[in-house]
Amino acid sequence: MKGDVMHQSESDGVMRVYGGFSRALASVADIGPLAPVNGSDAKIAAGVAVYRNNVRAAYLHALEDSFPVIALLVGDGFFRYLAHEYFHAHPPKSRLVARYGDHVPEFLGSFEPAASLPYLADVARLEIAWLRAYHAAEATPLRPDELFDRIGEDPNRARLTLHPSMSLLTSRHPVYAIWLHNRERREGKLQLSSIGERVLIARPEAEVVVTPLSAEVWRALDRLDAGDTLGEAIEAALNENTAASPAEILQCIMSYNVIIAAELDQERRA
Amino acid sequence: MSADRELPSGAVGVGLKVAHYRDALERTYGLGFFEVHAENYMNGGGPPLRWLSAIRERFPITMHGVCLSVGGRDPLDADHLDRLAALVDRFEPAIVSEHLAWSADGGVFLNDLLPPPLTEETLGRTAEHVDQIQTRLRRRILIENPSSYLEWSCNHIAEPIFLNELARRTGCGLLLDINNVFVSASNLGFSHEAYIDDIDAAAVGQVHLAGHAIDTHANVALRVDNHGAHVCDEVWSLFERFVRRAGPRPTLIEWDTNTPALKELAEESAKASHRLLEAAA
Repeated sequence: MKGDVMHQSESDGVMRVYGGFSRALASVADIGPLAPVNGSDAKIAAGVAVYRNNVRAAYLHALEDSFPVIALLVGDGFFRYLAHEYFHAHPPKSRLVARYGDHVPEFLGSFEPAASLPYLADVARLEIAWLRAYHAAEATPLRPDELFDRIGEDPNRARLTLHPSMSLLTSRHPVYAIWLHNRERREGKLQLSSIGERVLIARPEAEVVVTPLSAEVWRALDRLDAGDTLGEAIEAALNENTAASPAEILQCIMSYNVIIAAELDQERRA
Repeated sequence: MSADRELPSGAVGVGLKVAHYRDALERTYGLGFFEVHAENYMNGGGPPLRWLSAIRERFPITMHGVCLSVGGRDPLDADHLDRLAALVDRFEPAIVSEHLAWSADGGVFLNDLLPPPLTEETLGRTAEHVDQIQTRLRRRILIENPSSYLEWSCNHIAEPIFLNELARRTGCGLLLDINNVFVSASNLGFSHEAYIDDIDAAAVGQVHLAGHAIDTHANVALRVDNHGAHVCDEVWSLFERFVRRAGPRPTLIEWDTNTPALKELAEESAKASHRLLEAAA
Protein backbone atom coordinates (compact mmCIF):
# COMPACT_ATOMS: atom_id res chain seq x y z
CA MET A 1 0.00 0.00 0.00
CA LYS A 2 2.73 2.35 1.03
CA GLY A 3 4.65 1.45 -2.16
CA ASP A 4 1.63 2.38 -4.26
CA VAL A 5 1.35 5.76 -2.59
CA MET A 6 5.04 6.47 -3.18
CA HIS A 7 4.78 5.41 -6.79
CA GLN A 8 1.72 7.64 -7.17
CA SER A 9 3.59 10.66 -5.82
CA GLU A 10 6.68 10.01 -7.96
CA SER A 11 4.49 9.69 -11.02
CA ASP A 12 2.64 12.87 -10.11
CA GLY A 13 5.89 14.88 -9.88
CA VAL A 14 7.12 13.47 -13.19
CA MET A 15 3.84 14.21 -14.96
CA ARG A 16 3.89 17.78 -13.68
CA VAL A 17 7.33 18.27 -15.22
CA TYR A 18 6.22 17.12 -18.65
CA GLY A 19 2.74 18.63 -18.69
CA GLY A 20 3.46 21.80 -16.72
CA PHE A 21 6.78 22.73 -18.24
CA SER A 22 5.74 22.10 -21.83
CA ARG A 23 2.65 24.25 -21.22
CA ALA A 24 4.83 26.99 -19.72
CA LEU A 25 7.16 26.96 -22.74
CA ALA A 26 4.30 27.04 -25.24
CA SER A 27 2.28 29.75 -23.47
CA VAL A 28 1.94 33.31 -24.76
CA ALA A 29 2.74 34.91 -21.40
CA ASP A 30 6.07 34.64 -19.56
CA ILE A 31 4.98 32.34 -16.76
CA GLY A 32 6.86 30.17 -14.26
CA PRO A 33 7.83 26.56 -14.91
CA LEU A 34 4.42 25.17 -13.73
CA ALA A 35 6.38 22.28 -12.23
CA PRO A 36 8.31 21.92 -8.95
CA VAL A 37 11.88 23.14 -9.45
CA ASN A 38 14.79 23.54 -6.99
CA GLY A 39 16.49 26.88 -6.39
CA SER A 40 15.74 30.53 -5.70
CA ASP A 41 12.97 32.35 -7.57
CA ALA A 42 15.56 34.40 -9.51
CA LYS A 43 17.47 31.28 -10.59
CA ILE A 44 14.26 29.55 -11.66
CA ALA A 45 13.17 32.62 -13.64
CA ALA A 46 16.57 32.73 -15.38
CA GLY A 47 16.41 29.00 -16.24
CA VAL A 48 12.88 29.24 -17.63
CA ALA A 49 13.97 32.28 -19.68
CA VAL A 50 16.78 30.27 -21.31
CA TYR A 51 14.42 27.47 -22.33
CA ARG A 52 11.73 29.85 -23.57
CA ASN A 53 14.33 31.70 -25.61
CA ASN A 54 15.67 28.43 -27.06
CA VAL A 55 12.20 27.34 -28.19
CA ARG A 56 11.28 30.73 -29.65
CA ALA A 57 14.64 31.20 -31.38
CA ALA A 58 14.50 27.71 -32.92
CA TYR A 59 11.11 28.43 -34.48
CA LEU A 60 11.99 31.98 -35.48
CA HIS A 61 15.04 30.64 -37.32
CA ALA A 62 12.94 27.90 -38.92
CA LEU A 63 10.63 30.56 -40.39
CA GLU A 64 13.54 32.81 -41.41
CA ASP A 65 15.09 29.87 -43.26
CA SER A 66 11.83 29.02 -45.01
CA PHE A 67 10.63 32.56 -45.82
CA PRO A 68 13.63 34.80 -46.59
CA VAL A 69 11.58 36.99 -48.94
CA ILE A 70 8.72 37.49 -46.46
CA ALA A 71 11.36 38.44 -43.86
CA LEU A 72 12.81 41.08 -46.22
CA LEU A 73 9.37 42.40 -47.17
CA VAL A 74 8.16 42.98 -43.60
CA GLY A 75 11.49 43.71 -41.83
CA ASP A 76 13.07 42.05 -38.78
CA GLY A 77 10.86 43.49 -36.05
CA PHE A 78 7.58 42.69 -37.76
CA PHE A 79 8.84 39.24 -38.75
CA ARG A 80 9.60 38.43 -35.10
CA TYR A 81 6.11 39.55 -34.12
CA LEU A 82 4.62 37.50 -36.95
CA ALA A 83 6.68 34.43 -35.90
CA HIS A 84 5.50 34.80 -32.30
CA GLU A 85 1.83 35.07 -33.31
CA TYR A 86 2.18 32.14 -35.72
CA PHE A 87 3.74 29.94 -33.02
CA HIS A 88 0.66 30.42 -30.85
CA ALA A 89 -1.85 30.16 -33.71
CA HIS A 90 -0.26 26.93 -35.02
CA PRO A 91 1.57 25.14 -32.19
CA PRO A 92 4.29 23.02 -33.86
CA LYS A 93 3.38 19.36 -34.24
CA SER A 94 5.87 18.11 -36.82
CA ARG A 95 9.41 17.02 -36.08
CA LEU A 96 10.30 18.08 -39.61
CA VAL A 97 11.07 21.70 -38.91
CA ALA A 98 11.13 22.49 -42.66
CA ARG A 99 7.38 21.74 -42.60
CA TYR A 100 6.69 24.05 -39.65
CA GLY A 101 5.75 26.96 -41.93
CA ASP A 102 3.20 25.02 -43.98
CA HIS A 103 0.30 27.06 -42.55
CA VAL A 104 1.99 30.45 -43.01
CA PRO A 105 0.10 31.37 -46.25
CA GLU A 106 -3.36 30.86 -44.72
CA PHE A 107 -2.16 32.54 -41.51
CA LEU A 108 -0.94 35.60 -43.45
CA GLY A 109 -4.18 35.64 -45.44
CA SER A 110 -6.11 36.50 -42.30
CA PHE A 111 -3.38 38.26 -40.28
CA GLU A 112 -4.91 41.69 -39.66
CA PRO A 113 -1.61 43.57 -38.98
CA ALA A 114 -0.37 42.58 -42.48
CA ALA A 115 -3.63 43.43 -44.29
CA SER A 116 -1.94 46.32 -46.14
CA LEU A 117 0.31 43.78 -47.94
CA PRO A 118 -2.32 41.58 -49.62
CA TYR A 119 0.28 39.74 -51.75
CA LEU A 120 2.18 38.32 -48.74
CA ALA A 121 0.20 35.07 -48.60
CA ASP A 122 0.98 34.28 -52.25
CA VAL A 123 4.68 35.15 -51.83
CA ALA A 124 4.66 32.70 -48.89
CA ARG A 125 3.07 30.05 -51.16
CA LEU A 126 5.88 30.60 -53.65
CA GLU A 127 8.51 30.26 -50.91
CA ILE A 128 6.92 27.00 -49.68
CA ALA A 129 6.90 25.66 -53.25
CA TRP A 130 10.57 26.63 -53.53
CA LEU A 131 11.43 24.76 -50.31
CA ARG A 132 9.47 21.68 -51.38
CA ALA A 133 11.23 21.67 -54.74
CA TYR A 134 14.60 22.01 -53.00
CA HIS A 135 13.93 18.95 -50.81
CA ALA A 136 11.86 16.92 -53.32
CA ALA A 137 12.73 13.41 -54.45
CA GLU A 138 15.22 13.17 -57.32
CA ALA A 139 14.06 12.22 -60.83
CA THR A 140 15.82 12.48 -64.18
CA PRO A 141 14.06 14.55 -66.89
CA LEU A 142 13.68 12.97 -70.33
CA ARG A 143 15.90 14.37 -73.06
CA PRO A 144 14.06 15.59 -76.19
CA ASP A 145 15.19 12.51 -78.17
CA GLU A 146 14.00 10.17 -75.39
CA LEU A 147 10.66 11.96 -75.33
CA PHE A 148 10.35 11.71 -79.10
CA ASP A 149 11.12 7.96 -79.02
CA ARG A 150 8.25 7.43 -76.59
CA ILE A 151 5.53 9.65 -78.00
CA GLY A 152 6.67 10.82 -81.46
CA GLU A 153 4.23 8.44 -83.14
CA ASP A 154 1.21 10.41 -81.90
CA PRO A 155 2.05 13.23 -79.43
CA ASN A 156 -1.60 14.13 -78.87
CA ARG A 157 -2.17 10.74 -77.22
CA ALA A 158 0.81 11.18 -74.86
CA ARG A 159 0.40 11.04 -71.10
CA LEU A 160 3.31 12.66 -69.30
CA THR A 161 4.64 12.25 -65.76
CA LEU A 162 5.93 15.54 -64.43
CA HIS A 163 8.84 16.04 -62.04
CA PRO A 164 8.03 15.41 -58.32
CA SER A 165 9.59 18.77 -57.43
CA MET A 166 7.16 20.71 -59.63
CA SER A 167 4.54 23.16 -58.35
CA LEU A 168 2.29 25.52 -60.29
CA LEU A 169 1.14 28.70 -58.69
CA THR A 170 -1.30 31.36 -59.79
CA SER A 171 -1.79 34.69 -58.07
CA ARG A 172 -3.87 37.84 -58.50
CA HIS A 173 -0.64 39.71 -57.64
CA PRO A 174 2.69 40.08 -59.50
CA VAL A 175 4.08 37.48 -57.13
CA TYR A 176 7.02 36.45 -59.32
CA ALA A 177 8.27 40.02 -59.76
CA ILE A 178 8.05 40.66 -56.00
CA TRP A 179 9.76 37.39 -55.14
CA LEU A 180 12.60 37.83 -57.67
CA HIS A 181 13.31 41.43 -56.72
CA ASN A 182 13.73 40.50 -53.05
CA ARG A 183 15.30 37.08 -53.46
CA GLU A 184 18.09 38.63 -55.50
CA ARG A 185 18.17 41.68 -53.25
CA ARG A 186 17.94 43.96 -56.25
CA GLU A 187 18.45 47.64 -55.67
CA GLY A 188 15.87 50.32 -56.35
CA LYS A 189 12.11 50.51 -56.26
CA LEU A 190 10.12 47.81 -57.93
CA GLN A 191 7.58 49.11 -60.46
CA LEU A 192 4.65 46.78 -59.95
CA SER A 193 1.91 46.17 -62.42
CA SER A 194 -1.46 45.17 -61.02
CA ILE A 195 -1.54 42.11 -63.21
CA GLY A 196 -1.56 38.67 -61.65
CA GLU A 197 1.16 36.17 -62.44
CA ARG A 198 1.46 32.43 -62.98
CA VAL A 199 4.61 30.64 -61.90
CA LEU A 200 6.35 27.27 -62.33
CA ILE A 201 8.64 26.10 -59.50
CA ALA A 202 10.75 22.98 -60.06
CA ARG A 203 14.16 21.44 -59.46
CA PRO A 204 14.92 19.28 -62.50
CA GLU A 205 18.63 19.17 -61.56
CA ALA A 206 20.53 20.61 -58.58
CA GLU A 207 19.05 24.13 -58.67
CA VAL A 208 15.49 25.23 -58.00
CA VAL A 209 14.16 27.09 -61.05
CA VAL A 210 11.32 29.61 -60.77
CA THR A 211 9.76 30.68 -64.08
CA PRO A 212 6.87 33.02 -64.94
CA LEU A 213 4.41 31.36 -67.31
CA SER A 214 1.95 32.58 -69.91
CA ALA A 215 -1.71 31.75 -69.24
CA GLU A 216 -1.75 29.10 -71.97
CA VAL A 217 1.44 27.31 -70.85
CA TRP A 218 0.30 27.39 -67.22
CA ARG A 219 -3.02 25.83 -68.25
CA ALA A 220 -1.35 23.12 -70.32
CA LEU A 221 1.00 22.14 -67.48
CA ASP A 222 -1.86 22.19 -65.00
CA ARG A 223 -3.91 19.83 -67.21
CA LEU A 224 -0.93 17.52 -67.81
CA ASP A 225 -0.31 17.40 -64.07
CA ALA A 226 -3.97 16.44 -63.59
CA GLY A 227 -3.49 13.49 -65.99
CA ASP A 228 -4.85 14.82 -69.29
CA THR A 229 -3.23 13.74 -72.55
CA LEU A 230 -1.02 16.23 -74.33
CA GLY A 231 -3.76 16.77 -76.92
CA GLU A 232 -6.34 17.58 -74.23
CA ALA A 233 -3.89 19.84 -72.38
CA ILE A 234 -3.07 21.84 -75.52
CA GLU A 235 -6.74 22.18 -76.30
CA ALA A 236 -7.38 23.59 -72.81
CA ALA A 237 -4.40 25.93 -73.26
CA LEU A 238 -5.82 27.27 -76.52
CA ASN A 239 -9.01 28.16 -74.66
CA GLU A 240 -6.89 30.56 -72.59
CA ASN A 241 -5.37 32.17 -75.68
CA THR A 242 -6.80 31.31 -79.08
CA ALA A 243 -3.86 33.03 -80.81
CA ALA A 244 -1.29 30.70 -79.21
CA SER A 245 0.55 28.11 -81.27
CA PRO A 246 0.40 24.46 -80.13
CA ALA A 247 3.97 23.90 -81.30
CA GLU A 248 5.24 26.84 -79.26
CA ILE A 249 3.37 25.68 -76.15
CA LEU A 250 4.94 22.23 -76.47
CA GLN A 251 8.40 23.67 -77.09
CA CYS A 252 8.02 25.88 -74.05
CA ILE A 253 6.97 22.96 -71.83
CA MET A 254 9.89 20.86 -73.04
CA SER A 255 12.35 23.66 -72.28
CA TYR A 256 11.49 23.45 -68.56
CA ASN A 257 12.92 19.92 -68.23
CA VAL A 258 10.06 18.68 -66.06
CA ILE A 259 8.89 15.64 -68.05
CA ILE A 260 10.26 12.49 -66.41
CA ALA A 261 8.17 9.81 -68.12
CA ALA A 262 5.89 9.60 -71.13
CA GLU A 263 3.77 6.96 -72.80
CA LEU A 264 1.05 6.81 -75.39
CA ASP A 265 -2.43 6.43 -74.00
CA GLN A 266 -3.33 2.77 -74.69
CA GLU A 267 -7.11 3.06 -74.26
CA ARG A 268 -7.42 5.54 -77.09
CA ARG A 269 -5.45 3.32 -79.42
CA ALA A 270 -7.89 0.42 -78.94
CA MET B 1 29.95 3.34 -49.36
CA SER B 2 33.71 3.33 -49.47
CA ALA B 3 34.67 4.87 -46.13
CA ASP B 4 35.08 2.49 -43.19
CA ARG B 5 32.28 1.98 -40.69
CA GLU B 6 34.52 1.68 -37.62
CA LEU B 7 36.10 4.89 -36.34
CA PRO B 8 39.58 4.77 -34.82
CA SER B 9 39.39 5.52 -31.08
CA GLY B 10 41.48 8.68 -31.51
CA ALA B 11 39.51 10.06 -34.49
CA VAL B 12 38.50 13.71 -34.29
CA GLY B 13 35.76 15.27 -36.37
CA VAL B 14 33.52 18.31 -36.72
CA GLY B 15 29.82 18.91 -37.25
CA LEU B 16 29.03 19.26 -40.96
CA LYS B 17 27.49 22.62 -41.90
CA VAL B 18 25.89 23.66 -45.19
CA ALA B 19 28.48 26.42 -45.65
CA HIS B 20 31.28 23.81 -45.51
CA TYR B 21 30.00 21.29 -48.05
CA ARG B 22 32.31 22.31 -50.87
CA ASP B 23 35.36 22.79 -48.66
CA ALA B 24 34.74 19.41 -47.03
CA LEU B 25 34.98 17.71 -50.41
CA GLU B 26 37.94 19.65 -51.75
CA ARG B 27 40.18 19.66 -48.65
CA THR B 28 40.74 17.26 -45.78
CA TYR B 29 42.29 19.33 -42.96
CA GLY B 30 43.17 16.07 -41.22
CA LEU B 31 39.58 15.46 -40.17
CA GLY B 32 38.68 11.88 -39.27
CA PHE B 33 34.88 12.17 -39.69
CA PHE B 34 31.93 14.52 -40.04
CA GLU B 35 28.86 14.44 -37.82
CA VAL B 36 25.45 15.29 -39.26
CA HIS B 37 22.13 16.03 -37.59
CA ALA B 38 19.87 13.32 -38.97
CA GLU B 39 16.88 15.68 -39.15
CA ASN B 40 18.63 17.91 -41.71
CA TYR B 41 18.61 15.04 -44.19
CA MET B 42 15.10 13.64 -43.77
CA ASN B 43 13.97 14.74 -47.22
CA GLY B 44 13.11 12.92 -50.43
CA GLY B 45 16.11 14.42 -52.19
CA GLY B 46 17.79 17.73 -52.85
CA PRO B 47 21.19 19.40 -52.57
CA PRO B 48 21.91 18.53 -48.89
CA LEU B 49 21.48 14.80 -49.59
CA ARG B 50 23.53 15.09 -52.78
CA TRP B 51 26.38 16.76 -50.88
CA LEU B 52 26.20 14.27 -48.04
CA SER B 53 26.38 11.33 -50.47
CA ALA B 54 29.51 12.80 -52.04
CA ILE B 55 31.12 13.55 -48.66
CA ARG B 56 30.25 10.06 -47.40
CA GLU B 57 32.27 8.60 -50.28
CA ARG B 58 35.37 10.20 -48.76
CA PHE B 59 34.75 10.30 -45.01
CA PRO B 60 33.14 8.26 -42.28
CA ILE B 61 30.15 10.04 -40.81
CA THR B 62 28.41 9.89 -37.46
CA MET B 63 24.67 10.54 -37.26
CA HIS B 64 23.20 12.57 -34.42
CA GLY B 65 19.41 12.58 -33.95
CA VAL B 66 17.88 15.55 -32.16
CA CYS B 67 14.10 15.07 -32.37
CA LEU B 68 13.12 11.59 -31.13
CA SER B 69 12.30 12.83 -27.61
CA VAL B 70 13.78 9.65 -26.12
CA GLY B 71 13.30 10.91 -22.55
CA GLY B 72 9.69 11.98 -23.10
CA ARG B 73 6.48 10.42 -21.77
CA ASP B 74 4.81 10.40 -25.23
CA PRO B 75 5.31 7.19 -27.24
CA LEU B 76 8.14 7.45 -29.77
CA ASP B 77 7.07 8.90 -33.12
CA ALA B 78 7.16 5.74 -35.29
CA ASP B 79 7.24 7.72 -38.57
CA HIS B 80 10.22 9.69 -37.36
CA LEU B 81 12.00 6.52 -36.28
CA ASP B 82 11.35 5.08 -39.77
CA ARG B 83 12.90 8.18 -41.33
CA LEU B 84 15.97 7.77 -39.12
CA ALA B 85 16.22 4.07 -40.03
CA ALA B 86 16.13 4.90 -43.75
CA LEU B 87 19.00 7.38 -43.34
CA VAL B 88 21.04 4.93 -41.27
CA ASP B 89 20.55 2.24 -43.93
CA ARG B 90 21.56 4.63 -46.69
CA PHE B 91 24.62 6.26 -45.13
CA GLU B 92 25.90 3.52 -42.80
CA PRO B 93 27.19 5.93 -40.16
CA ALA B 94 29.98 4.78 -37.82
CA ILE B 95 27.95 6.00 -34.83
CA VAL B 96 24.26 6.78 -34.33
CA SER B 97 23.37 8.89 -31.30
CA GLU B 98 20.40 10.57 -29.62
CA HIS B 99 19.81 12.46 -26.38
CA LEU B 100 18.70 11.89 -22.83
CA ALA B 101 16.12 14.60 -23.41
CA TRP B 102 12.48 15.26 -24.26
CA SER B 103 11.37 17.71 -26.88
CA ALA B 104 7.69 16.89 -27.34
CA ASP B 105 4.72 16.44 -25.04
CA GLY B 106 1.05 15.91 -25.77
CA GLY B 107 1.80 16.04 -29.50
CA VAL B 108 3.34 19.52 -29.37
CA PHE B 109 6.94 19.52 -30.59
CA LEU B 110 9.05 22.08 -28.68
CA ASN B 111 12.24 21.67 -30.73
CA ASP B 112 14.56 21.95 -27.72
CA LEU B 113 16.42 19.29 -25.74
CA LEU B 114 14.81 19.40 -22.29
CA PRO B 115 16.26 17.35 -19.42
CA PRO B 116 13.86 14.65 -18.21
CA PRO B 117 12.98 14.11 -14.55
CA LEU B 118 15.61 11.73 -13.14
CA THR B 119 13.46 9.09 -11.47
CA GLU B 120 13.09 5.31 -11.61
CA GLU B 121 9.88 5.78 -13.59
CA THR B 122 11.56 7.90 -16.29
CA LEU B 123 14.53 5.54 -16.37
CA GLY B 124 12.21 2.62 -17.12
CA ARG B 125 10.38 4.47 -19.89
CA THR B 126 13.57 5.86 -21.42
CA ALA B 127 15.08 2.35 -21.45
CA GLU B 128 11.99 1.09 -23.31
CA HIS B 129 12.42 3.87 -25.87
CA VAL B 130 16.12 3.09 -26.34
CA ASP B 131 15.27 -0.63 -26.76
CA GLN B 132 12.68 0.30 -29.37
CA ILE B 133 15.16 2.47 -31.31
CA GLN B 134 17.95 -0.13 -31.20
CA THR B 135 15.53 -2.85 -32.34
CA ARG B 136 14.27 -0.72 -35.23
CA LEU B 137 17.77 0.35 -36.32
CA ARG B 138 19.22 -3.14 -35.67
CA ARG B 139 22.24 -1.56 -34.00
CA ARG B 140 23.54 0.00 -30.83
CA ILE B 141 23.05 3.73 -30.32
CA LEU B 142 24.74 6.20 -27.98
CA ILE B 143 22.77 8.47 -25.65
CA GLU B 144 24.09 11.96 -24.85
CA ASN B 145 23.86 13.77 -21.53
CA PRO B 146 21.83 17.01 -21.78
CA SER B 147 22.72 20.55 -20.72
CA SER B 148 20.47 21.82 -17.93
CA TYR B 149 19.28 25.22 -16.75
CA LEU B 150 16.77 23.96 -14.16
CA GLU B 151 16.67 21.08 -11.67
CA TRP B 152 13.36 19.27 -11.15
CA SER B 153 12.41 18.76 -7.49
CA CYS B 154 11.36 15.18 -8.21
CA ASN B 155 14.87 14.17 -9.38
CA HIS B 156 16.31 11.50 -7.14
CA ILE B 157 18.91 9.73 -9.31
CA ALA B 158 22.16 11.54 -10.11
CA GLU B 159 22.45 12.04 -13.87
CA PRO B 160 25.65 9.98 -14.46
CA ILE B 161 24.16 7.10 -12.46
CA PHE B 162 20.93 7.38 -14.48
CA LEU B 163 22.94 7.21 -17.73
CA ASN B 164 25.12 4.30 -16.54
CA GLU B 165 22.02 2.36 -15.57
CA LEU B 166 20.35 3.17 -18.91
CA ALA B 167 23.42 1.76 -20.69
CA ARG B 168 23.45 -1.32 -18.46
CA ARG B 169 19.75 -2.08 -19.02
CA THR B 170 19.65 -1.49 -22.78
CA GLY B 171 23.19 -2.17 -23.95
CA CYS B 172 23.29 1.33 -25.45
CA GLY B 173 26.49 3.34 -25.26
CA LEU B 174 26.93 6.87 -23.94
CA LEU B 175 27.91 10.02 -25.77
CA LEU B 176 29.69 12.13 -23.17
CA ASP B 177 29.25 15.82 -23.95
CA ILE B 178 31.85 17.38 -21.68
CA ASN B 179 30.69 20.93 -22.34
CA ASN B 180 27.17 19.90 -21.29
CA VAL B 181 28.57 18.44 -18.05
CA PHE B 182 30.40 21.69 -17.32
CA VAL B 183 27.41 23.88 -18.21
CA SER B 184 24.96 21.84 -16.13
CA ALA B 185 27.33 21.52 -13.16
CA SER B 186 27.86 25.26 -13.15
CA ASN B 187 24.13 26.06 -13.48
CA LEU B 188 22.84 23.48 -10.99
CA GLY B 189 25.77 23.52 -8.56
CA PHE B 190 27.22 20.02 -8.69
CA SER B 191 30.82 18.90 -9.20
CA HIS B 192 31.75 18.54 -12.86
CA GLU B 193 34.80 16.46 -11.94
CA ALA B 194 32.76 14.01 -9.88
CA TYR B 195 30.30 13.66 -12.79
CA ILE B 196 33.13 12.88 -15.25
CA ASP B 197 34.60 10.36 -12.78
CA ASP B 198 31.22 8.70 -12.14
CA ILE B 199 30.42 8.03 -15.80
CA ASP B 200 30.92 4.39 -16.79
CA ALA B 201 33.93 4.88 -19.09
CA ALA B 202 33.46 1.49 -20.76
CA ALA B 203 30.03 2.61 -21.99
CA VAL B 204 31.28 5.87 -23.53
CA GLY B 205 31.53 5.53 -27.32
CA GLN B 206 32.06 9.16 -28.30
CA VAL B 207 32.89 12.55 -26.79
CA HIS B 208 31.42 15.95 -27.76
CA LEU B 209 33.23 19.22 -27.10
CA ALA B 210 31.81 22.70 -27.72
CA GLY B 211 31.92 26.27 -26.56
CA HIS B 212 29.16 28.01 -24.61
CA ALA B 213 28.01 31.50 -23.64
CA ILE B 214 27.23 33.17 -20.33
CA ASP B 215 23.79 34.81 -20.30
CA THR B 216 22.65 37.06 -17.51
CA HIS B 217 18.96 37.26 -16.67
CA ALA B 218 17.94 39.61 -13.82
CA ASN B 219 21.43 39.39 -12.23
CA VAL B 220 21.54 35.59 -12.46
CA ALA B 221 24.32 34.36 -14.73
CA LEU B 222 23.78 31.01 -16.47
CA ARG B 223 26.08 29.13 -18.80
CA VAL B 224 24.18 28.49 -22.03
CA ASP B 225 25.17 25.67 -24.36
CA ASN B 226 25.02 27.62 -27.64
CA HIS B 227 27.83 25.83 -29.55
CA GLY B 228 29.02 29.29 -30.54
CA ALA B 229 32.59 29.68 -29.26
CA HIS B 230 35.96 28.02 -28.72
CA VAL B 231 36.07 25.21 -26.17
CA CYS B 232 36.88 26.80 -22.81
CA ASP B 233 39.92 25.86 -20.66
CA GLU B 234 37.89 24.12 -17.96
CA VAL B 235 36.24 21.87 -20.57
CA TRP B 236 39.65 21.02 -22.09
CA SER B 237 40.85 20.05 -18.60
CA LEU B 238 37.81 17.86 -18.02
CA PHE B 239 38.37 16.25 -21.40
CA GLU B 240 41.95 15.40 -20.44
CA ARG B 241 40.76 14.10 -17.08
CA PHE B 242 38.33 11.75 -18.83
CA VAL B 243 40.86 10.57 -21.45
CA ARG B 244 43.53 9.89 -18.77
CA ARG B 245 41.07 7.55 -17.04
CA ALA B 246 39.23 6.07 -20.02
CA GLY B 247 41.62 6.31 -22.96
CA PRO B 248 40.84 7.96 -26.29
CA ARG B 249 37.36 8.08 -27.84
CA PRO B 250 36.19 9.48 -31.18
CA THR B 251 35.81 13.17 -30.39
CA LEU B 252 33.70 15.82 -32.06
CA ILE B 253 33.90 19.61 -32.06
CA GLU B 254 30.38 21.12 -32.29
CA TRP B 255 30.09 24.70 -33.52
CA ASP B 256 26.57 25.57 -34.70
CA THR B 257 26.19 29.31 -33.95
CA ASN B 258 28.33 31.83 -35.86
CA THR B 259 30.22 28.86 -37.27
CA PRO B 260 33.69 29.80 -38.56
CA ALA B 261 35.29 28.51 -41.77
CA LEU B 262 36.01 24.79 -41.90
CA LYS B 263 39.74 25.49 -41.61
CA GLU B 264 39.26 27.17 -38.22
CA LEU B 265 36.94 24.40 -37.05
CA ALA B 266 39.56 21.88 -38.09
CA GLU B 267 42.15 23.78 -36.02
CA GLU B 268 39.91 23.38 -32.97
CA SER B 269 39.62 19.67 -33.68
CA ALA B 270 43.41 19.45 -34.09
CA LYS B 271 43.70 20.84 -30.54
CA ALA B 272 41.39 18.07 -29.40
CA SER B 273 43.54 15.51 -31.20
CA HIS B 274 46.70 16.88 -29.60
CA ARG B 275 45.25 16.87 -26.07
CA LEU B 276 43.75 13.47 -26.62
CA LEU B 277 47.09 11.96 -27.61
CA GLU B 278 48.92 13.59 -24.71
CA ALA B 279 46.37 12.60 -22.11
CA ALA B 280 46.12 9.03 -23.38
CA ALA B 281 49.91 8.56 -23.45
